[in-house]
Amino acid sequence: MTALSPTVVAAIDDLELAARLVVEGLRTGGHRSPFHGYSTEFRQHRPYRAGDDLKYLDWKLFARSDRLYTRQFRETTNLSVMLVLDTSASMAFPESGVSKSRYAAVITAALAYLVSEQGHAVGLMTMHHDKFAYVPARGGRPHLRALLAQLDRVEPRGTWDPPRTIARGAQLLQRRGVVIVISDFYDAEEETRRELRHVVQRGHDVAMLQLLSPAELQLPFSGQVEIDELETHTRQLVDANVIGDAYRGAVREFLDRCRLHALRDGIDYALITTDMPPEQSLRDYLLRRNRRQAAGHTRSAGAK
Amino acid sequence: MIWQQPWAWVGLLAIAAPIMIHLLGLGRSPRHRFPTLRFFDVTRLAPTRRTQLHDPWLLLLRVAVLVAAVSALAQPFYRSAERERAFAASLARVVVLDTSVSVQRAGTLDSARRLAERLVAEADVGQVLETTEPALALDGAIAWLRLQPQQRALVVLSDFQLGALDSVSLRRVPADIGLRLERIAGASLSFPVVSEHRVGPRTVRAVTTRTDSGATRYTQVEWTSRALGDSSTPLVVRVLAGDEERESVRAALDASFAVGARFLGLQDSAVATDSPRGQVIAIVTPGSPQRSALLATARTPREPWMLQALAALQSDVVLQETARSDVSGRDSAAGLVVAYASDDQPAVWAVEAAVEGRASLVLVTNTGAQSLTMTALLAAARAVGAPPIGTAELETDYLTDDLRTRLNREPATELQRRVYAGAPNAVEGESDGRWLWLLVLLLLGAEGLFRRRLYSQRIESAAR
Repeated sequence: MTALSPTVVAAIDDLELAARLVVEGLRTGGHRSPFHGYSTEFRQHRPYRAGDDLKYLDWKLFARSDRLYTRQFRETTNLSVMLVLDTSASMAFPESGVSKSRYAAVITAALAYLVSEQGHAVGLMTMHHDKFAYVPARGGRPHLRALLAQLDRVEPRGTWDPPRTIARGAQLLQRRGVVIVISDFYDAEEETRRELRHVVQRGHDVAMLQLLSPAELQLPFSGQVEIDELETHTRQLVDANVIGDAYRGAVREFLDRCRLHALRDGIDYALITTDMPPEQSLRDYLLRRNRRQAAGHTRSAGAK
Repeated sequence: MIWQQPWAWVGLLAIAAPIMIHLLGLGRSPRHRFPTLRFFDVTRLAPTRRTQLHDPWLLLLRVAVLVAAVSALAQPFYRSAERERAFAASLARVVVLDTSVSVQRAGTLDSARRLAERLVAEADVGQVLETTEPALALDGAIAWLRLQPQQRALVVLSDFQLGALDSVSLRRVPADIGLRLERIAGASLSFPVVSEHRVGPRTVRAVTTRTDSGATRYTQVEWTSRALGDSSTPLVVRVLAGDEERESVRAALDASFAVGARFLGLQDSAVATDSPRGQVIAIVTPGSPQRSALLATARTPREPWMLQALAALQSDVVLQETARSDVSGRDSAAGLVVAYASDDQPAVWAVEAAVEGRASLVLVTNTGAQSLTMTALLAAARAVGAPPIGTAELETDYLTDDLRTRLNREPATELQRRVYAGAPNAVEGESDGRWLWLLVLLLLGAEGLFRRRLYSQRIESAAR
């Protein structure tokens, strides 16, 4: 199946349809769901090894066989995923073509669809008209539709407060879950990073999906141009020919910083550009997450 | 290259318009909405909006369009060798020949005339204008030259006494007419001095004049002057006086010298008194032995030149006033009264009679030879027929050769003449500006394409 172009996906008004298309695109790749719940289901016994938690010892089996076995469980259902979406005005860029906000909405909807289809709970945390607008994490098709409807209502404007929004989103998860933040991460860089670290420390699985447009990476202007910042409407006259290289260097440095800090803090990180097909962006992210989780399981199994 | 409408170059001021547009009006930098300013290095931002030209190639194209258009409006005309040859083919020339007294007395008039004829012969078409007042002849020469389609040249042959031809006169010569001031030798006149009296049967007295060359020349008092109506005919004035009156006549002659400049119109004695062409004025004093015989055969003057001379005498204020102060001593006879005495009797009257077999204008006086009226009559008779003498003829200085050379200029070629302002036959329809208009069109097309491409780039850039 050919990947849908971002323009086509963004042109679909029905978010649910767009999400389904993206998710179906993902399935053609034959990927497993990267989201694993924390609910436990018995899987097998294995001989006790020194250091195993005694609470997992199967005492009944010990009584029958006089041997020590440790019970192993499989994490199954009721994963809670909170999608935190940046709705600041900077997400409205570019104003023609596929905007970051639309692209982010499609990605968010696809993730919600994917999570919900797997029977997990999914919620949405965002800001609407400078107020928190959220949908608590729940499962089921009706809830998914409510979430997508809320997502459809969101429009990028003004500024947003990422630390507070992320903190509030994580707080809405009743138990440990996954917090996925979709943003350009321009605002309050240090505070956002600190808050993400706190969320990780509270036991949540955190992912940063940094969404940028190619124009932000390349600064495709030439000559003297007046830059009007979308969020603050501050205007600045610049000579793009003169500052182009410095700009691109600064952007690279910023992205490297985001990626390195995420890695250090145990946060999934993915840079997504709006010129990529959404399912491809999502697939790349999920594959990376799968690989990381597999590595994590291997490490924890080895440790056990 | 000739620019037929050089004032059109003022249009180059219009170049300021696109420059201002690029600096100001349309020079507003395109505005792009952008997510953040955090990555722009504030130390490298453009300083101001109006100090930097944008789209310099577009500006260059626009300026080129204006320059080409202004050049086309200035109507360029390329002076190729072929065109020059075609336009410089023929010449019209007028030679103004100064025949004033100073030139005549120098004896160079004949050689000057030959030179003038040669100059005219060299041209395709030409005229010689002889005049005693070169300055007054310039207008006629210019008018004639203006009618000629060829190159035009004006040559003035003169001794160039100061004042004869001044800068104001020369300024009337249009710039497209070539000017050549050619000096011919002149002789300034010195005031004649009476140095000797020789009284003979046909001459009353002799005077000497001193010329610039220092040579002394003798002049018969039986003077001649330019004849009335015909410059080739001398006018002879004779005084018919009795023996006892001759000394008085001589004294009257001395006194008549005081008339001044008009005396300078006298011809020298080279003119034979018995010339068959001569027109004779005879002055008959009361004591003249021929008086009775002349009056007996006299009749009223009828010849036109006589009537013209009479009119000149009657308008001589000095003669009229002097005669009024005298008393007429004798009765008048048939004839025309020239001047009345205080007793309302004719002091001088004129008749026509034959003097020595030639029809002459006879002026009969009733006043004595020693009277003031005789002096005035002699002076008036000398003035009759004398050409008007300009004050320049008294000038002993001449235009310097250096200045004269500087005033000379070559005749304009037909091509040059066409581009002078006011030239009636400007190069209409022969401008090479059409090629520049073609260039303007090409440049405009290039400007349109360039502008479209530039704007497309901007739109794409903004879309990204």
